Amino acid sequence: MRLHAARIPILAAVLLAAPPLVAQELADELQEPDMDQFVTVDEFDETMDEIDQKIGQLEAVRPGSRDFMVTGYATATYADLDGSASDFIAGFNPIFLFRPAEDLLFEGEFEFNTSEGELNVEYAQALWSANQWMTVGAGKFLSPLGQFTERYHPAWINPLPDAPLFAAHDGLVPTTLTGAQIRGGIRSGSTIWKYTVFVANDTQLSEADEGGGGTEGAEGPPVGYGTVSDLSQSKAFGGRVAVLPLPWLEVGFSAMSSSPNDTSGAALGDLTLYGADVSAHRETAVGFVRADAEFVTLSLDDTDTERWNGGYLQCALRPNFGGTQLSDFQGVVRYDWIAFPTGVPSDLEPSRWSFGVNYWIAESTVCKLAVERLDFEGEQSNSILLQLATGF
Amino acid sequence: MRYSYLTRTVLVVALTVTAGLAVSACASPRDEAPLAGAILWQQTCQQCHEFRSPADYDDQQWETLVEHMRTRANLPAEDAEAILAFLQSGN
Repeated sequence: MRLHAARIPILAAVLLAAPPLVAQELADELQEPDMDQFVTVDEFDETMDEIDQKIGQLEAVRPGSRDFMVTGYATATYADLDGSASDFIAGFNPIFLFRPAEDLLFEGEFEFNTSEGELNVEYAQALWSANQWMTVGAGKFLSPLGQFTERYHPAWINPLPDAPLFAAHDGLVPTTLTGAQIRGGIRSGSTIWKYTVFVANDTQLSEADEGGGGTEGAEGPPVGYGTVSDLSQSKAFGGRVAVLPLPWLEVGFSAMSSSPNDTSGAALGDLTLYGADVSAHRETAVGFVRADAEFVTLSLDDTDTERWNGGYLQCALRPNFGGTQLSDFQGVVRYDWIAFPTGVPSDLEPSRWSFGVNYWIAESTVCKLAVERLDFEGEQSNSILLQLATGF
Repeated sequence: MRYSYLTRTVLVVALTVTAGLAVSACASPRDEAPLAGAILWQQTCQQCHEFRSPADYDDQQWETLVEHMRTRANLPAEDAEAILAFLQSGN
């Protein structure tokens, strides 16, 4: 009796929220049970199970709950950099997923970040699963060039509190592109092939001396990648092909061709980008090892005198201490850099070593402590970063 | 000798494909049958992040999440289906 009474408000709420016709149909099936009809405890439990089942069916058709969910990640960061004020930074990145049909998915991520002080649409796209090996997408999407930007940049996935120099916002690789893409994965025996091709609004470059490359004040690559609206008639196109010859090893190659403009719309020549990436993630005798490497080279007008390159090498180990609490720690080391065109003094090229220790509080929540040493303009500076990140 | 952009792209893609086939051929022979969802879940999802417990979401939420991740990680459809079946059986 008590169990039944507890379910009545739930049932009423769900019925009110469900589409009228469906709700009425289900409600008709589920008449208020006559408590006198119960003879045994088993019969009572059976009726209660039936009510639970109906509630589940109603939940499935309630508007706003069907195939809609919110996921994402959030961060709280403290950064202490040599020569500048220390800073607390908060980030909140909800991801909205809506699947109105079996083969259709809308996804969007919004970025709230106190350091940038604004709301940013990280990506928003519609995806249509055309068949077993091809998905067609359109909208604003994460750049599929390489692996870091598309897959490893979320704070609860990236083992360090910040991105490699070349992959930071306004780095060598565009963070997002606005256009259309076709992508998929194909298994051939034990080998997996992955592909992505895209056409997108052309890149829009900022002035070369405005900085960039993730290092304030550096003569960074002339890339602003303002691709939301296209100022030219041409389009950027490119893609990535990758192979997993072994389940734990992925090797990829990326390329992009673009005819960028400056902010006034004037053509700046042809931009060509190549990238190569390797990742190996595997459980070993000493623990789980993540090894990643990525290299990007970018040229304007296909000349070696106007060529930037950058990349990173990273290795993370979560040692296996027999399931003890020590197994929740993770060590990580990374080297990343950006190199500038011929003629730029080499001491203006930033390079950085990062060392981190992470503690996994839960399966998707990590506390990261990192020490970074940046070599730039002939000087070395140290940073300490502390970050709490969670995926939800 | 200078190559055109297209030529270089084709060359690098061809090299990548060839290298993949070569390494694949050297790998130990394995059962060609579809791998169990649990193994694929371990091999695939752990490439980027820690495991989420199957109990974290209900069947419908896993469908949406797996579709999201299938696209993001370019998972083969049959692998995604096997992973989904495993997750839904374990929640």
